[in-house]
Amino acid sequence: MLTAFWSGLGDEFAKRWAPRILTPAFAFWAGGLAVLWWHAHAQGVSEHGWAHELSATATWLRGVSGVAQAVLVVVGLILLVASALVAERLTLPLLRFLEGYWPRPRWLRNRLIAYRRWRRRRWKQRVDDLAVRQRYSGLTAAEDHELHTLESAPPADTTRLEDLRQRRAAGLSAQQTAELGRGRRYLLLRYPPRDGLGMPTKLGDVLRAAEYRPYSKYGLDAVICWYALWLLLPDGVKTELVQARTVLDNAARGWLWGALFLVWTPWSWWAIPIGVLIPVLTYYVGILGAASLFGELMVTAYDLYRFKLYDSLHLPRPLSPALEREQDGRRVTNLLWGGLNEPGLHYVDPPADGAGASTS
Amino acid sequence: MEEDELRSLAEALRADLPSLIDDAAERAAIETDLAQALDQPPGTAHDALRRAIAANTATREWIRRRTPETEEADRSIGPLGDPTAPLGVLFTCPNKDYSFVQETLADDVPNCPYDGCVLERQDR
Repeated sequence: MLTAFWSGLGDEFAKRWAPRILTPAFAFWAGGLAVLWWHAHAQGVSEHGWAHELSATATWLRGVSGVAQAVLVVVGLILLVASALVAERLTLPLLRFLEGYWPRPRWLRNRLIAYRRWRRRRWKQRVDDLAVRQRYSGLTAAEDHELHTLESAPPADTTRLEDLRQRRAAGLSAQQTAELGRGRRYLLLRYPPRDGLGMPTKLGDVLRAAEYRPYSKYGLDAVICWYALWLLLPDGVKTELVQARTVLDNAARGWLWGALFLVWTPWSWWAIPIGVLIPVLTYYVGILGAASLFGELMVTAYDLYRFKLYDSLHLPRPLSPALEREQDGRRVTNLLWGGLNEPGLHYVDPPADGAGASTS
Repeated sequence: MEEDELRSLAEALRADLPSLIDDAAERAAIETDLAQALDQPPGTAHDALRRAIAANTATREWIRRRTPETEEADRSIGPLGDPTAPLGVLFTCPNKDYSFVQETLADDVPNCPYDGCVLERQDR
């Protein structure tokens, strides 16, 4: 019966259904069955060997009637699909949990946030120092000033002057340059700049950092403006964003199924390392990378398409980056959130060519 | 994509051509190409089918919509590396004992930690 089932599906199964069935949910249930089998046959394996126990299981399966086999297959598929659907519904709450949106225990949350802010401060100090040295070709601000002073009135002993000149000529070392680049990336992508925005987990900080950037650059609150901007994005951009988000959701579901593997612990101790290792790997290898990519694409959507917001809301476009940050962007945010009550502000028609700027 | 799949898609595309392409001459040319490709013996039509299907913008878009697996494929725009160019704006203390680079607008420009002076923007 089982043979007939698989051969009946044939190529169709391989092409269409394999990607839908061979999911983390399938791995979870298959692993669970393996655990239960091992629990029942561990002693037999040690006494008679693997081949004997496996053939005994196969013999038992062959002895089951065709109807019973069909019921087993159908029940198994229903269980697989139903559990996968439940996991899909749990993806968003799970992501929020992994981001750190849990109010209790408060002491743990506060300690984790404090630790992550400490790490950011350490990177910030290092990057600040290296960024200045980069501007002064490897020197500090005081050394650069000293060099200019020495060059304008060279002393009798030129040892110090030559030393500073040599260091300026060498610039930053390769290690310093690499450290500066890495630090910049961490500061921009991994940590929100304000302590009040800190989250207790790396994932939370990554997404918070991305959400804050449209506000710090354009005065647009990314969370409030996102739905309006989404409706204005071209299809190709939406596709890229959906794809990035799908990768993130899939990675989160992988984390969930890996953690759920712990439920098999009563039947086998090796469910523990699997149930710990898979979530850890999924988090650091899959979830964080996917979240970074999604965040970057979201920020870039604001960079490239934010003027569509002004035009569609019939608000005047900003005249300068400074005005955009301090006035116009906040105006859009307020309109979308609670409405505008700004005396003297009038709606404007969007520029016909989509390129000019309007004023109120 | 295997030849069998291409054949199935090409046949479906032929049926959809009237709604896809308004221009009769253009539609007839694509129809001819598809028919010739489909007439080739099994095992030899792969390249001809691909060419016929991808010969037109509308048919390419049609095929893209009908093959969602290519949409779901993992594509990475990939990080190029770490940024190493001088970025941001340099601010310096008038007494030349402290400097600060404002790399992002979220960074507040501090006063000089040694003498409390307001830092001045530099153009270097």
